[in-house]
Amino acid sequence: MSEKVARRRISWPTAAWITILLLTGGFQIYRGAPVDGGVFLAMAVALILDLTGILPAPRTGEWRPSRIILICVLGAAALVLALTPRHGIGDGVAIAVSGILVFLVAWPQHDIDATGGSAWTPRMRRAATLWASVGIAVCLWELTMYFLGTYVDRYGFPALSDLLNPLLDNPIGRILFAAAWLVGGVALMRRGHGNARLLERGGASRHPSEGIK
Amino acid sequence: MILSSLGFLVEAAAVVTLVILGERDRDRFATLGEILDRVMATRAARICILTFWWWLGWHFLFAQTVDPGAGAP
Repeated sequence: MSEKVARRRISWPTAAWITILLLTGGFQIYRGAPVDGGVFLAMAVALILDLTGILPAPRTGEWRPSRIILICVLGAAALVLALTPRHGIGDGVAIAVSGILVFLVAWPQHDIDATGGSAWTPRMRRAATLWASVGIAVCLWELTMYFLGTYVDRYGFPALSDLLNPLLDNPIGRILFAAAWLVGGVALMRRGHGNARLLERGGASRHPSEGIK
Repeated sequence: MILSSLGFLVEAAAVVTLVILGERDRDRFATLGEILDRVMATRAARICILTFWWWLGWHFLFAQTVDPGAGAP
């Protein structure tokens, strides 16, 4: 049995991404959001099982929804998110279904992990470092405001949720946020798939100065 | 409230700056799209980033983000 289990090499970036999911899941449970925490932890566990080789490899290969399916799902989700009350069951179903569809598409995609070093050119490392720094700063600031708001003064140190809540309670603000969320999801899905095709062709960057790796 | 808002505004400004930097100085900085293309080539990164994206929708549109009783004077 053990011969059939194909373990994948665990790189430190993969371990870091899984750690981020575990930490976030733990924090969500700490702050009293068990469903949110459960989703993060479930994803982390799925990735760990995938690394051990216990999970079967997708047999159907990469599946991409047709443009018609994408438009139908996007349109339905947009209508529900725009027309039904915030926090309503309609929103919950639309978001849950959108998430399931996205992960059905994202999970089976082949892992393009080879030649990671050569793909990270100096300009990419520079930009990635800055983006990661900003991302970490946002997380630390949000955490700081959460703890100050929880233990010192909620109104004096509001977290991002407190600041955005009035905007999202407004129908226009909610529609704009829902639209940005849906468009962002489609953009992220396209990024992952686009890169897989690019790397399979042997290229890692679109910048002319870097040529084809 | 001012301190909190100021912090988030500075971070938003940093995001805008990085986007502009990537578009205007491509010889020195990669665009966000290029970074995402490279990072999301691995399943762990892809799933992690998409989980955060999904959670933003769940948290802000469906879940109760603000506990009405919390922090009340």
